[in-house]
Amino acid sequence: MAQLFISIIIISGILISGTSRMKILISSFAFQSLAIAVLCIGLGYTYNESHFYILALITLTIKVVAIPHIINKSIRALKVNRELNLIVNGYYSFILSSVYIIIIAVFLGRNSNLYFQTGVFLVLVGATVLVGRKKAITQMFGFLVIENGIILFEISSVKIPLILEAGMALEVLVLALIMGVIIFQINKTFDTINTDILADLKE
Amino acid sequence: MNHNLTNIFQGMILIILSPFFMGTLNKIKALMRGYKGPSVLQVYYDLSKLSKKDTIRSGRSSFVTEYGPVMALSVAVTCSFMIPVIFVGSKNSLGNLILIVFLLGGIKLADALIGLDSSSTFGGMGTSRELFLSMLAEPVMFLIIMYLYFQYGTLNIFEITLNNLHMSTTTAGDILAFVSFFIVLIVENARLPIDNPETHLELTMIHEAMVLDLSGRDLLLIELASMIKFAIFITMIVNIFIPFGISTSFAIPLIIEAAGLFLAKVFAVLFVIAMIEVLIAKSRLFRAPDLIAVSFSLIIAAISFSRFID
Repeated sequence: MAQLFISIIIISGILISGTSRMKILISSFAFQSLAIAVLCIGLGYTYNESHFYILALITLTIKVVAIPHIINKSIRALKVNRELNLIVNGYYSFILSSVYIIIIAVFLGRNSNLYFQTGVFLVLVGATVLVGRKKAITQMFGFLVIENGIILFEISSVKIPLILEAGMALEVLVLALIMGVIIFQINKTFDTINTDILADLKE
Repeated sequence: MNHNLTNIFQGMILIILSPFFMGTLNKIKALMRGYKGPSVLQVYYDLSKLSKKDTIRSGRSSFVTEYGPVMALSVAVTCSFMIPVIFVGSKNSLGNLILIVFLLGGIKLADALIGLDSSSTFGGMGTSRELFLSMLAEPVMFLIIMYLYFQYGTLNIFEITLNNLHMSTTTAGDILAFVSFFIVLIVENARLPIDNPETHLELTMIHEAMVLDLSGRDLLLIELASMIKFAIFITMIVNIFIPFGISTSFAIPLIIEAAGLFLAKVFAVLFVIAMIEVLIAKSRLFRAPDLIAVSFSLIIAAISFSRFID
């Protein structure tokens, strides 16, 4: 059953890496977080540890419900539903994500488990989104996907204390809230949320 | 015992059912949109109407338009004899996947030649689009075959089905390859995000543009060939990735159970296709490479997971 959720995470990761539609971006991020939460519950049941249940609960409340809701709201206020003129366009992002998978398979193939590899993949995808997009609201998704990857690191073997993990998850929530407000203000001041335009400030 | 005769028999069932699948797809789409829709047998009526009509050919067209439809249909029929439908034997001489893909390419060749033959403007445009898409989709198809070879150790589709039947676990690679094959199915059969099969607007059509000059019996043969191709792709995706319940012996209850399960699985795939077609609008032609890149990326992930990661 874990294989099904791992494949959902990978499919949504590939979709996030290259899509330009905000709706697909939000829903695949929510699905990805849901799959991670279910994986956490499954692991908690297997190892009989309460730690995993708390992680699943945090993921469910913050990433499946709260953050998509906030982003949906700010998108409706900003009226952006797609992003054009990417730095790395969709086609190359998809090809790049397959290159990441090959690199992971070659270098991490034999001596680590599936969760760890998927986590590395999500961190790389998040970095691509962060670098390859121009709009602030899609760049935020880079951070969110990286955070998902870190959760997968944690449930693989690297034990991060729960307080740190909870701190990170809350940080992401605050990030989403602040970005929601700031992006709205940027839009109000500059009539765009393209981060390239922000460089025009310096005189 | 060689099962070639059985294969021919079940291939004939598939050929007879292929317009029914198309009719079912149209019916599901109509029901989802909230209207009654034509009967599931409407496609059969359309085909019989075409068979009664006169065949008119353009004065500019050569022997290609005369023999092209025959070639397309014969290739499709040959191909349908090579895939398992409801029965899979233990010894099979037919059914090499690479041969199947090349034969399905033959339908495309016939379509493209017919489109170019009568030198009409739309024919050339449709041909160019069709070959542009298949140029991108074919490598992904061969990567899927490569994945299947790595996973099941054979290129024969019957043996792949048998090996998958005996395998108890589903890996992440299987699911990724399934999604990838599904995208290739949509692209190769010109379904909705790539091409809208319902319209005849000259700016959007791909498959329809190539067969615009045909009429009567020629159109019947080409339409039947593309329906059989659609049925072949659905049967392949069903029997390669979810073959549970397929019969391995000639016992009557097993065959009936296999036929019921096969129809149920095909209807499930048709339902998903219909849902996509109702929900999604056609995207621009130059966005199609993005979709195929998703498919490519997924199959690369599947190969990496099955080969390098345990």
